Amino acid sequence: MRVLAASLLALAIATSAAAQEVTPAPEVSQEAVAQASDVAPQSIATTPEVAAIEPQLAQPTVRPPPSRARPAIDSDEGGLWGMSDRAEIEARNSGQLERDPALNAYLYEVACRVADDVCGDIRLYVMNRPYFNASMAPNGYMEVWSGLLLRAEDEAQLAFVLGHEIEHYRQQHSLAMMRTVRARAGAAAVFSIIAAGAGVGIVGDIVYLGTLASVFGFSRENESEADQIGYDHAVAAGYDPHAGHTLWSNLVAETQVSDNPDTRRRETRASIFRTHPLSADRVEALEERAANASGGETNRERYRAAIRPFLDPWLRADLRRRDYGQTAALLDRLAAHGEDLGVVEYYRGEINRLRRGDGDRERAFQHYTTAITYPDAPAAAWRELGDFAARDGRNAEAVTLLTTYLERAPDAGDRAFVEARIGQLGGGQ
Amino acid sequence: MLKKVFALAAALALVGTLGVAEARPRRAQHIESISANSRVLVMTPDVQLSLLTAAGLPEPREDWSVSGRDNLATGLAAALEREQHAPNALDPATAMEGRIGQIIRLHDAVGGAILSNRLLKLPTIERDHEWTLGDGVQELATTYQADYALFTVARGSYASGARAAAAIVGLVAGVYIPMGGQQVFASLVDLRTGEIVWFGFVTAGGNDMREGDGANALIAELLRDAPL
Amino acid sequence: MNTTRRGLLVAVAGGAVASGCATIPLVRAGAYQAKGAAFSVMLARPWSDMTTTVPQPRGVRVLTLHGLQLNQLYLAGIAPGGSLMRVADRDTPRPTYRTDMSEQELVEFVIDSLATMNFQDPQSTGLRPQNLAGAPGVRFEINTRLETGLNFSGTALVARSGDNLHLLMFLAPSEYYYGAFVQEVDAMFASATPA
Repeated sequence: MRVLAASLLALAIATSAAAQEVTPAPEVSQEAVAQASDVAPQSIATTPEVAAIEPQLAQPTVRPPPSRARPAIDSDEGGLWGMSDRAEIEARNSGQLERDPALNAYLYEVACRVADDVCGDIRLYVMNRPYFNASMAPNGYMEVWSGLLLRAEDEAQLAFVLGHEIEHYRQQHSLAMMRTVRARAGAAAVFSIIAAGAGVGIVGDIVYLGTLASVFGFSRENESEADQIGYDHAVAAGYDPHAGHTLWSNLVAETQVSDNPDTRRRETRASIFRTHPLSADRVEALEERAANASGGETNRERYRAAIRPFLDPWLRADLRRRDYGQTAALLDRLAAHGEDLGVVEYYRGEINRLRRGDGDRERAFQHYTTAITYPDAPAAAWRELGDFAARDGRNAEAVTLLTTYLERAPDAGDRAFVEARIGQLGGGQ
Repeated sequence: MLKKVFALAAALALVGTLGVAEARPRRAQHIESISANSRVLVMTPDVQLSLLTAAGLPEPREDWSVSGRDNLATGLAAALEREQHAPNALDPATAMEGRIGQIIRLHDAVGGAILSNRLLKLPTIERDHEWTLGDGVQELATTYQADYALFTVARGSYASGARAAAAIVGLVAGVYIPMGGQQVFASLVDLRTGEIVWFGFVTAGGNDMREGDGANALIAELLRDAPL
Repeated sequence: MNTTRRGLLVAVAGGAVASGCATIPLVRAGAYQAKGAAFSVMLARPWSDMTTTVPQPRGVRVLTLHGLQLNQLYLAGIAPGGSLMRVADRDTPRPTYRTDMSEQELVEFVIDSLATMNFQDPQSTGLRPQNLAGAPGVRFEINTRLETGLNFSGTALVARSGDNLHLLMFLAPSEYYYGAFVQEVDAMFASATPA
């Protein structure tokens, strides 16, 4: 069995070398359990036809022609495209794909507006992942994560990020990265270990997010370049010049109030947007560019209207990361214009309920109480208040609140339980 | 995703290693051949091949992946026809919606379980355990008018000339430098019962799937114990 | 690939190296008391114990029949402050059990833990009162899916016992595997007795 042990060890080494994945996923052993099917034969990822992949979501079928021809199949770029195609098929079949037609159509429109000459290249997919990320693969497949959509405050900020990603695409930074890595012996050593362990290629596997950056991160120069030219494109498309530095500053501020000391220490680098190392000088550079600029649209209200239907599920997913400091900062930004206060106040209450620090119980009660004065409060706010009432012995009030909860959430998964509770509290007689 | 393909590749390499260490895994001898004139849905082979450079950086080679895929698909169909069966191609990437999509994903999960079990044996899996996808597979049978489905996956890399030179230097220096290698595995699913009636794998050895002849030789080796 | 899997594989490899040969323990059919849980259940068939292969937090055991891809049975006794999944370091936020949780919060603890394990958009349905080894608890069903898009179903029973949380949970692909075992699992849940 020595062979088995050695092989497992090699596998472990190979795996650890690949561990710098983009997602700062919680370090949880069962994630491997949940993803144990990861070792499954990849019939899903069957090599696509060489012909271009048709967009499947609610994006226009009439679109400008692609700006780029498919590279020669026997070139290194062709290899990168092939891997991007596989990653795209996986994205399309993923359990994280958000298929809502209106949201997809809206995001495609914004991406196209900022993409200018490469609009026809873009195929955009929204992934339900509570982290700040977006990417564009060499074949034109673009991912935008829900954690980003929740954190951009307006359309101009979204346009800036998309412009930034599109610039990585336009400048072919992934290809440059692959060639640099290949040329650099030090970096290649990393791959040696991987190759020794796996005996097979992994470069393709890196392309989950479309780019090699998902493992190494783009270079500082590539990031600054994408910032600057992304800025130019967004501003040329008529967007607010201050969007870029505002967004980056917001993200830096959010990581600084993280509950996780590790995240605070490493600031933004390894926190919510690991693939795009963000330094103070990048924020300053964008701020300087914008200093004397004015005008431009934010399209804030239009943007909020587009993401409004998703605030509740996306905030729930964000809360599940159990980083209350970050979620609280996010809620403050969402509340800045006095909108969606039912949802915002409910989730403020949720933070307090889950955190259970000194005074949190009282604060939770206040937030839920405020939440239900707004028409958009989630039904669960009434259930929580019913719980407070029941615990405090205000049985009649508890019955009313729990009954309201059931009226507002007729398909509630806990209906039978709540009905039983109402019965115990003396209701329903 | 990234992880999964990688884990699969790593697992495949492992299986390859085990195959060498413990002699080729053999199917039990008593498997009955499937009846003649069976309609077999040949799922488009999932093939990813790369070039292993001198430094050990595997570069994806789309041209090799595409020829490997096409050669395997053609060769498998021809092999089935030789055994008097009726092959019919399906690209699973076009069938990932609805229940059929779930069946295809479940096949991936079961395949993963089969591989895992070869790496680390579960005491609850008997030697003659019949792996199954359940009778939901009948959805595939009726939609595509088929009796069996054949899934194939291939992963691997080929050493560059410089890599081969480095390996020789390495040998002299007492360092083992892997030269790349290719693995193929396949499963045959009974579309009435859902049972995986056969699961085979092969390490490519000298047979190069990038060439038609090499692919055919590889297929012959892969299918040598298949109940066709 | 995140560090999680690395942890798992290093553990697997380490175990294999240390013992010279990795083996997965067999849990025999019949009465079974999971280590750390103060209850026992009747198992209708033998199970493979994955707990040493895939390290779990204190008090959590994970069994399988055909591999974790195809069925997972959790049996747990979780102390206050404990969690249902293992995290790499103490700074990483994760759902933890608290003694003052309401019944719905116990369900939320399980569901949020599943989300942290990368099950996609897990939802609880059909919450209802049910005893676990004589203690009043909550029974519920789970709908979720893997990142690959494979739908998973589950059923769970949680109850407080003294300061600890007792949990039984079964998860499997919705296609075939859940339905094939849910009745047996249901009987197993009902068979729980205080140890």
